[in-house]
Amino acid sequence: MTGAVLVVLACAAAAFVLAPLWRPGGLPAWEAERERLLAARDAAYRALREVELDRETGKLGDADYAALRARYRAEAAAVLRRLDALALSGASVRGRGQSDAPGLRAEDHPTPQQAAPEQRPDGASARVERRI
Amino acid sequence: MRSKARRTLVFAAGAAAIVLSLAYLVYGGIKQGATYWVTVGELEQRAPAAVADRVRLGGTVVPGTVRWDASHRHLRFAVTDGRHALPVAYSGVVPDIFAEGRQVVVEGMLDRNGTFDATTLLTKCPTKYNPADPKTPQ
Amino acid sequence: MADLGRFALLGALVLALYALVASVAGARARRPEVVRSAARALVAVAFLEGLAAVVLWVALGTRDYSFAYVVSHVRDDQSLLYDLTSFWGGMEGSLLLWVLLLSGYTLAALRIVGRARPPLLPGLVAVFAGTSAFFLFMLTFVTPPFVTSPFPPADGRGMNPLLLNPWMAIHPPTLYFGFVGMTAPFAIVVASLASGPAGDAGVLLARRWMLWAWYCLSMGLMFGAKWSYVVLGWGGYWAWDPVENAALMPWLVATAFLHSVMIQERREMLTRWNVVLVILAFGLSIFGTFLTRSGVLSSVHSFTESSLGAFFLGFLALALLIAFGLAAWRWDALRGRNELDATLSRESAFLLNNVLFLAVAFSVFLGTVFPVVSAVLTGRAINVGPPFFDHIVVPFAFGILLLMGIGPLMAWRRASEQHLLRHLEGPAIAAVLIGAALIVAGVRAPGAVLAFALCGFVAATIAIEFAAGVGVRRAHRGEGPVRALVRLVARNRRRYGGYVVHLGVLLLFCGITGSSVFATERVATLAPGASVAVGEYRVRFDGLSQSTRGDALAITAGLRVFEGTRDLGPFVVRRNLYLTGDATTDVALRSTPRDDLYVILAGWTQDGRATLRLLVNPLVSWIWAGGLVLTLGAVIAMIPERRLVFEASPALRGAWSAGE
Repeated sequence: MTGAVLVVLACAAAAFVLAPLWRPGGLPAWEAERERLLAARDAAYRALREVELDRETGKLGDADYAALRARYRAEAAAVLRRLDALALSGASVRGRGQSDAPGLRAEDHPTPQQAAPEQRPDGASARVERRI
Repeated sequence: MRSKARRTLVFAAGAAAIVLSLAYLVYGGIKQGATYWVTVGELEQRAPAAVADRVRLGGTVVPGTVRWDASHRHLRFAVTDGRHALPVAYSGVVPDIFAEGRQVVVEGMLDRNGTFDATTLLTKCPTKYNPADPKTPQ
Repeated sequence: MADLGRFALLGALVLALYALVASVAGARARRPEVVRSAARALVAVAFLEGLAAVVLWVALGTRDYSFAYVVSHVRDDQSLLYDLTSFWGGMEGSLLLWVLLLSGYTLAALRIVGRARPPLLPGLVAVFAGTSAFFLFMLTFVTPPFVTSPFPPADGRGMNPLLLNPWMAIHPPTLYFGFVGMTAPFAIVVASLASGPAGDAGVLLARRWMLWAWYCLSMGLMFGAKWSYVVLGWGGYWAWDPVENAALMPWLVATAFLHSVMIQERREMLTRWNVVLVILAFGLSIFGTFLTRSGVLSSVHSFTESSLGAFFLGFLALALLIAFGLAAWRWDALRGRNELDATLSRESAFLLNNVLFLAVAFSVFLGTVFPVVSAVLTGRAINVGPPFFDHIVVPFAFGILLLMGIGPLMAWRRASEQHLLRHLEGPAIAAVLIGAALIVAGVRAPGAVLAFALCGFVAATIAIEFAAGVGVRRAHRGEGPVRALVRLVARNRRRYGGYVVHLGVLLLFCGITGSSVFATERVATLAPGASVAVGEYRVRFDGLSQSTRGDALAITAGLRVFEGTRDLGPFVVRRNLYLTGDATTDVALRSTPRDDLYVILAGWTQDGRATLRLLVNPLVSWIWAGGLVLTLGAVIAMIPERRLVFEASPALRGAWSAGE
């Protein structure tokens, strides 16, 4: 009885584990460059938000604040521009491309079909609502 | 850049300060808290030279040797490493799990009469992580 | 049924080894389907381990004494709950729990991280498979849980009554969630190092996993301390025992990491350092598992001499070799993009934080392995006791406390001195006032005065942080104070959650200071009717009585507590003597926010006199309260942040064209 159970278990496990070998295929596509840019963009946004909060709570002087803010805004702008260029080029395979940290919702990842309608005269990356 | 060199210097000085204070504290801590580990056999061997040396002794409580004086809170028992046995005298609170046959760790020193004067008594917390062995009687 | 369990573990071992080989081979040959097969193997491993666990639980629950493990941990008279929780009460069961939790983390990580960053999948599978394989090897060949005998005894031995306690029931699993949890960030980092040159080495991705493991370890440490205090009956909660230190060391390294990872997030620096920290945390958690099981270091927890230790050390050495080897291989590519801008900045504060925490971890490590190291170096084993640890840790703890107050006041990159000093004025004044008040009230211990003053200092800085943040929101949006506070914390969960955690740590500091410095102890042998004074209390001994409770003979001392003229009611302390020769103490504990009155029955005489040991431990309840506050802060910080969005893109466009 136990022997039969063991044999069944062993076969089931083998079947389950070896099944994928008959379906060659890729892992979901993942663009290193895009993910890196998204992470850089998040870092710049986070830094900007912190600079604002630090300024308001008095930890940052005016001169430092102005300098840092300009720097982070330039960084963010550069990253956004590179992201737009990447979306425009459209040659690379698009995957689901979620963000790094678990639990984040992917709100704004344009797929190839959506990239065109997002092109507006003032730039592709118009967003809404600043949140502090 | 000059300010960069200065910053490196500040950091290096800070790191050195922390490492030095750590070393100083470690040295002091060792001097304060260090005791030698010995077995019953070693202690017997090194007596009488070992008198008044603070040591830590590990062994098993010999059955039949436990005497507890409740009014003076004085405990006497013999500890063994399997071959030699040594009388131990201890004043203080006895851990719940102290019993004959249990493994103990005592800290203290050997006195002139050959009795070990213990200031600390620890008893092994039994059977938590022993490999299951049905042949070993508890 | 034992055969089923044994087969399940053996099968799991085989599958884990397959997963290890297949993931590496599949990655190198660029055959993703092989990697997918390897991932599936780990799913099957989880299933088989679950099966083995069910077998063991059924054996424990039905009191099947043909199993040796059941005989050692279960008894007919023992309550079912403790029969079931004895699953992790012994060596084999605890290793099975370890590997089961590891599978849980494996499945979660493969799903979450495997989807977020698919290139990491082969590496993740390999690390989890390798670690699982080691533990499964131990469970199959070295410490099998399913040893049976053909002649089952009529009744089991049961667990030591000291372990029959709710705290002891939850302490191991909680601790293991932490220990095992350190494998996840390790796997992520190692997989990142193996799979690609540059980037953040997976550190930022691993952060959240490390936060969770850190939190579990914190709770495990708290529960262990609570058990020690309430059950072991020696009057304290921390003894610098090797087993306690084993859990403390990875906790210290994880705390350091949680701070330095913020530098990497903001400034893309210290990647290499963070990689080292993650590897170190994992190494220390395996080392801790090893410490509690091998006979290398005698502690009140384990004197077992077995070959187990050699296997653990071997695995540890191999894992560290591979991990550090990968790190060395990628060392240049991980170079940070930025440097420290200023000596006075939040970065340098976090750096200092790291140095201090690692110094403490190193000292604890040194003190813990001192007997072994000294035996190897000098031929004689030297033991260093609690004085060693206290002597070193306390000054560093003061430094950390001070930093906890100053650090948050600094801005990133460059903190302006005048702003910093301006912000420090208020808290500094608060600290001085508190110190003065204590001295005036008669407190003479300089360390305690300093500790409380520093705690006041840090509490003031945290309060100001909250107040300033609320002020900002009110100025911008005109929100009411409560709403502003809630919104502030909700929008900046990581920062303000961290502040709440710091508050919890402050409570911990105060509790530890109070109970260490101001504890009063009295030992007295009393005849019925006699009283003894301890601290602010007077305890009257009313008499001994004897009864049977369950399978133990209980000697109960009836007491009554008075404070001044106020009768605080009856108080009972008990000693339970079991037929097996074990004894436990039911501590009489009266806990108030001010202090704990703690009484143990140390002995008794034939003529009805009782020897009592009485302790008044001030502020101990602050320690447990600190644990709760820490939990609140950790929960706040762990709630994921939503995707940041930002307005003013035309303005940004303008910025970029100006910057071109």
